[in-house]
Amino acid sequence: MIRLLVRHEWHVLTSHAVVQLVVFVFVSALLAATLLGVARDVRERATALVFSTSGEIGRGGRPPSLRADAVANERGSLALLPPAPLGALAIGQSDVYSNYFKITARSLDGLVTGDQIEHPLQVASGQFDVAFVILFLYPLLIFAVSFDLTASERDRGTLRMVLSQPVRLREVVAGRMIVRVVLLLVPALVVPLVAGLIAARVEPSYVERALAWSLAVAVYAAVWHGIALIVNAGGRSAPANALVLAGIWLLLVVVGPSTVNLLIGTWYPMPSRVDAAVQARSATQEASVQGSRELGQFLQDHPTSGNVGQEGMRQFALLQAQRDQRVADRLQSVEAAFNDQLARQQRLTSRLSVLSPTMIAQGVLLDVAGTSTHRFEHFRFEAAAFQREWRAYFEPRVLDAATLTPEEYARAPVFTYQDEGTGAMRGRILAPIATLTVLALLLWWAGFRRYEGYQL
Amino acid sequence: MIEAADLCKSFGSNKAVDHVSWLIQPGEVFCLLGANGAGKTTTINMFLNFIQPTSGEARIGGLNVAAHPVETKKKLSYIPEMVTLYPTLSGLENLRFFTRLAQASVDSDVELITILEQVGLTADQARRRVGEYSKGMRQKVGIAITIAKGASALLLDEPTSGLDPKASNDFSELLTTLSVRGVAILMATHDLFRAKESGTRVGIMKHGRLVESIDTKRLGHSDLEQIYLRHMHD
Amino acid sequence: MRDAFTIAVKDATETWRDGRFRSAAGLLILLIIAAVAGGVHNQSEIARQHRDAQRAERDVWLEKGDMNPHAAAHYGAFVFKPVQPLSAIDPGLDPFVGVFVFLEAHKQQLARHRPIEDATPTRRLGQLTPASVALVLLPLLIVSLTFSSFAGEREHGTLRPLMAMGISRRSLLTGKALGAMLPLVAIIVPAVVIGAVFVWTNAPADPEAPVAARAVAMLAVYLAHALIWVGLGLAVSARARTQGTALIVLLALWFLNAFVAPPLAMATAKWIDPSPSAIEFAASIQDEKDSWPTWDARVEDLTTRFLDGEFASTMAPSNVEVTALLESEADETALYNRRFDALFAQYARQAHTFERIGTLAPTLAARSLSMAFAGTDEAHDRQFSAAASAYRTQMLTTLNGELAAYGQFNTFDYTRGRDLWEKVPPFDYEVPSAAWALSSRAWSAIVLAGWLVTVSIAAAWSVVSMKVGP
Repeated sequence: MIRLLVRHEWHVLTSHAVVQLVVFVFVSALLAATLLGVARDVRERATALVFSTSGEIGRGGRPPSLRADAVANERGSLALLPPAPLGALAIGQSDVYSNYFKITARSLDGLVTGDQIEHPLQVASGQFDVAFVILFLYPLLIFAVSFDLTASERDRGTLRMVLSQPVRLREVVAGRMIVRVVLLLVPALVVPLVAGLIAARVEPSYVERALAWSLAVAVYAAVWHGIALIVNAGGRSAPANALVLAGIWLLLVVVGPSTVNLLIGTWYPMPSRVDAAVQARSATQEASVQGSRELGQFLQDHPTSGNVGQEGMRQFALLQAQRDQRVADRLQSVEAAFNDQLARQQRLTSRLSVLSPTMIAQGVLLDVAGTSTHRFEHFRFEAAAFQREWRAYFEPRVLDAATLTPEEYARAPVFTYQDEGTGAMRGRILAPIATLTVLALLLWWAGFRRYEGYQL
Repeated sequence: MIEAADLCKSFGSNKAVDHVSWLIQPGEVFCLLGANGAGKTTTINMFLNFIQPTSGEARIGGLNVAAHPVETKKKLSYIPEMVTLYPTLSGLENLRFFTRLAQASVDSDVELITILEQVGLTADQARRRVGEYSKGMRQKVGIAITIAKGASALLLDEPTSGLDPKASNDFSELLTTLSVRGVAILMATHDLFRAKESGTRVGIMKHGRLVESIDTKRLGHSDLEQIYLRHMHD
Repeated sequence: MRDAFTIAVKDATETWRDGRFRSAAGLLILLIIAAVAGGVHNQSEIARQHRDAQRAERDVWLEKGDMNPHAAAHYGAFVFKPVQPLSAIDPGLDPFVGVFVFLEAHKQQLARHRPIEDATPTRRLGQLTPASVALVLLPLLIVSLTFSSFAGEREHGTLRPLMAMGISRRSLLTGKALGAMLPLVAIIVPAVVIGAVFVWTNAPADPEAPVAARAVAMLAVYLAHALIWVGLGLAVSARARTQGTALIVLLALWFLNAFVAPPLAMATAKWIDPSPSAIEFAASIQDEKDSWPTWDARVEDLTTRFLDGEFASTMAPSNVEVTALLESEADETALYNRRFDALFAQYARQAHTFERIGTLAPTLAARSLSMAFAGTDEAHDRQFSAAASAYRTQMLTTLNGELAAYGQFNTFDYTRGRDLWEKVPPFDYEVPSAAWALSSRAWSAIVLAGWLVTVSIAAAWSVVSMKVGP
């Protein structure tokens, strides 16, 4: 019976011009977003290839000076974050955070963030990626094909014709829901993954992430279909349904998240970087000035570097290291306090994100794609660990004002990025996906319940 | 076959159907007359399980409709006042869909076209989109569904309203054919002429109650009109 | 004209009696209040932080004690981006650009710390601002007011009798337009009053700051944008076969303008003129640096040139290294200037393309203008960067100049004190005028005006040629 209803509904639904238009728009948007994303991803991978083999920012050029200080600090090393596994699908935060650090042995500059130079207008305008199409457009299109589940047929009398046959209303509704879900979910899943497969190299974590992505999209869609089901079960006319659904979309996708963000920004603002910068300045001022004075004194005693000699260079290196350490120590407490407060505010705001399925789904999609804040934080953590390794290797030689031997240079540490593994991702997305699943099940159950009282 | 057993339906304090009872045997054509709002459509809706009775039972073939909605619907067929089908599908496609929904054994296109021809639609007309059909043609599809389904009970709501005299006549003939085959027929109508022509019994409903139930054989045409108007006058 | 007024009053009354409109209008006003209050609160808080920080920084600068002027140049100075009062209405790019710049010798730097870096990812879903209410939500309300103006009456069959009474099409159009605008006034007037009051109480004390002119300009932009949507709604309603078609078309146009146009426009701009990635940019700078002579080679070369008598009158023997330092710094500064100028030029070209694409989307043009007048667009950010850069040059010239002037008697042990630090004036940023803002976005202004004219003509033509019966 369901098969008959599904086949019939498929035939009838796809004959509507509006539905054909909706599918066309959806597929076009998905294709455009995927192509843009894949092009960007291919370019990023090519760049990463160039730099990950060299291990440094410069791309060759003159042979390096082997002075320990030059190698450790001027030349430094490069910590590069490999492109995100599903970065073609969601740009996420990769236009805000940098994907590389220059590593030096000086405790002051140790981890120098490469400025993310993405055009601010681009960051402000948002990206036309697959995540955007799924999060914003997909729900609207679901509503566009679902505002007339039974309303017009009820008003015209066709529904009575159907229900005078030995078939239950819930079977009819179920069949219609199945058709609508399949109609849009198949392009939503197939287009990006197939196109992504063609362009990207398949990595070990790719399959698991692709499955997680598909699950997240399916569950997100199920929530919106459930909302449509409940509204249709209310018995209003088709235009009235359309108005209600449009209002719900507006509230949950547009107004809701942006108002929540306003409230968060006003009542739980992030700690001020500006204040922190001023605090850091005054905290380090004394140490910095004193250090400069000592260095200045040293240079006064040694007018030209040519007269300094090895012992003098060692003294200079030591003075510089001491100054850096003093300043870094003062900085550390200011930074620690700031980072604590920041983490607390961010945890709070994450909790508030359960207010809209769009906010929940966004977090999951970004995490799965590998462009959420988590991955960048993990990268920073790894880079900091590498910086300590780099510093430990070079510091004795720098303080010694030595020149490296070729073997010492060759044995210098090289950064290899260790992804945190899909286990961590799984742990993080479990709760949000479960929330969306429960929500979807509740909505569908409530919708079918409501349909039992449907006035013919 | 079509049995109302002390059927009642109230909407709040309003008694839409008030202790209605009848038994329509196979082959009988029971015409239900009454003003708008007398309760005819509400009664029919209870036989279709579109609404639940407040008390009493609606039975098809001895089975309580409310308790066995699916089984009873296998036995009955329904033609509303406006037969609305799927306009983008052809008459044949619509028939096929409804027949399959009805889980009828008749399935092949040949059989379905034969039935459509029986009710007066040519094979050519059958393949045209229902959106282009006249009311009479759509009604014929409705009757075709009844035949294809092999229903033993037929419920009709104002079938001849809006039909021209020829179509109305065609309809009467089809009705007679069905009753000869043993289908029990309940027809709610305003059409006193058709009621006398096609009906074996006539029931008059007023304010939810069945106030009169007469054998048409014992009636002349003018008699029926007089009786009807007398009740309406009260 | 009287006919038009009658129609307008009738339509407006119907709308006002519709409970759904009242709730939508009420919600919109609530959102405006929230957006304005939140915007003003945040803006004044950030402005206070920046002002305090700039003052604290000045104290730090003056009180750093005695040190070598070159060391002072390395000690550097922070400048904090002044926050425009109208950014409360349209924060524009402020959360996405750096808030302070560290000025020092050797290298130019990009402004640091973009607030978006500290926000959680959900922040990328957008933030409610008065500008977004005006440019995104208000058009939606306008669509709901206008989609059935003609199509609805035609479907209900009330249009034909109306025309049969001898009402001219022009009166009909005027009446319908007024009928849609009257309920809007009930929303726009309170909104403007609320906005004005909030902004007025937070305007800076500086009377020279061109807040009033900019505020009026922003209001004009929002009103023009609203009028464009009124015209669009009426034109589509007149042409559409059914109400449903009109609604779908208008909703699609709204969605395209509000959500699709900005990212697609930017993607196109980047496609045409791709900017380098962060690491490619850094690499290009590093590569060039790698090609320069080493410090030792520089000193050696200078020593040779000195011995050859090149600097006979100006330089003492011990000054070779100072000169080498100054020269290498000049080279590095020039390199960074070149690279950053190229990058900013590319940004400007991309913003230019973005603006050009905005020709097709009036909301995009309105947005560009709104940001420009609020002082939060990319052009204003570049103004700030340029001002910071000029200040840096001034600072370095003052400091290094002292070094060069007196340096022939001393090298790195030469120290100065507060008297020199005071020669560098405090950082003072002058906000450009409203006229400058307009000139930087002249194209968008022309586009908006063009759309207004086009839509009016389209609406008139649609009404003149529309079908009266269903």
